[in-house]
Amino acid sequence: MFVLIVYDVPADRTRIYRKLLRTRLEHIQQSVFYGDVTPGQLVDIKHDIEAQLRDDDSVIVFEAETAGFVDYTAYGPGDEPGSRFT
Amino acid sequence: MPNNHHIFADGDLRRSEDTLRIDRLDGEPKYLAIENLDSLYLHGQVTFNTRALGLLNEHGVPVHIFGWNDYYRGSYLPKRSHVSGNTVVEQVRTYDDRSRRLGIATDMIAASIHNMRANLRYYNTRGHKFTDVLDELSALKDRAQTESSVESLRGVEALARKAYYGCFDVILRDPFELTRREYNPPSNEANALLSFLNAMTYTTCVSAIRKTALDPTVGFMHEPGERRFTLSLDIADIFKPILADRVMFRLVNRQQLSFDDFESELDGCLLTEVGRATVLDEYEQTLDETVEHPRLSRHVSYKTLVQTDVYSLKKHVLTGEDYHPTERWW
Repeated sequence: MFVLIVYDVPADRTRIYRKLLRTRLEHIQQSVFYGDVTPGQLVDIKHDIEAQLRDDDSVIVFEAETAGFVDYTAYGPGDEPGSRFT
Repeated sequence: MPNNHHIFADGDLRRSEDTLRIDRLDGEPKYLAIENLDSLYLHGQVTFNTRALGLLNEHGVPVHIFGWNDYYRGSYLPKRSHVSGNTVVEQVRTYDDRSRRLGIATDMIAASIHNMRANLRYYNTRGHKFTDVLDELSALKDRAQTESSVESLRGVEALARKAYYGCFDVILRDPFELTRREYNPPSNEANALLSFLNAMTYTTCVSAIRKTALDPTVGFMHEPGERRFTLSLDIADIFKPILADRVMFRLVNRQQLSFDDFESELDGCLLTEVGRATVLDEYEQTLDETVEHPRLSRHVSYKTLVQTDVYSLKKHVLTGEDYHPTERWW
């Protein structure tokens, strides 16, 4: 499944979400994560987010059935999302 | 679906916040999603410590290491998550039982010849004429079913491979030439390309076998020796026409590669770093290609096909259920 997660949280709490998301998704920009995961992994991710959530945390999860449904255009430097090369 | 990742950059690989971080010598550090990683390929000069290996171990990620000029150097395999003494005992018993071993080896060779033939059949409809070789391969596939020893089977396979490689030069667009298959070191561009793709196919099989309890060193077609994963060689032979040869034809005939992507050393010829990146890009896309699977009745990727092939072998070894090596049906 295609997933894009963005968050806006108080500065001292960003590391919590960053750490949680980095193990399964690609960190494409500040507080923006992208990935192609299994439905089960997405359930896990959502569950973990809910467990961390506080009043001023805003997290948005975009999802689509397959990554093939989503087109993108990348401008400027930075790796292509989903690149398998470093 | 976890993906492979290739590291060409030089730098440090370390564990950071429960995931992998690559500190590149030039450029920003990069984080890899460990839970979404299938196998890691190191092509650059990378240093790592036991904490990084421990993390890879926890998540069952094999690391395949390529050394100077991308010669395959070896693999670091995670601690086995599937240990089953029973499977290993049955595997060795199967190897030791003449008729059971011959049965598996016959299926493997038949599948391998079938896949070679499928490639030629494809190009036969595209302006080439391979009718003679197609007939020869059909005959050899039938002959394989009647052989009574693994040694004579290997002879049949050698004949098939010779006939098959003989067509490569015709399929490959000029200036690429493959009149003789030579490696250690590869003598020309086409040989270099094929060697590299064969090594990649081999590592894909090593990763797939690691996900089962089968012992990679005990093969059925190849004779188990020292320092070699003969079972991986067996499985790789089935998939080489699909994962290596076809990708080579595509890269050359679509002119994605040119002679500029190779460099000739003192003796032998090898891909440049740019060339390798092009090849790996195409190889990874091929692994992701999907086909409708008749027995599973769903779409599966080529990478999954390698996995199901190994599962099928394991099932055969354990229960005697039919072994279905992958024969291109699409």
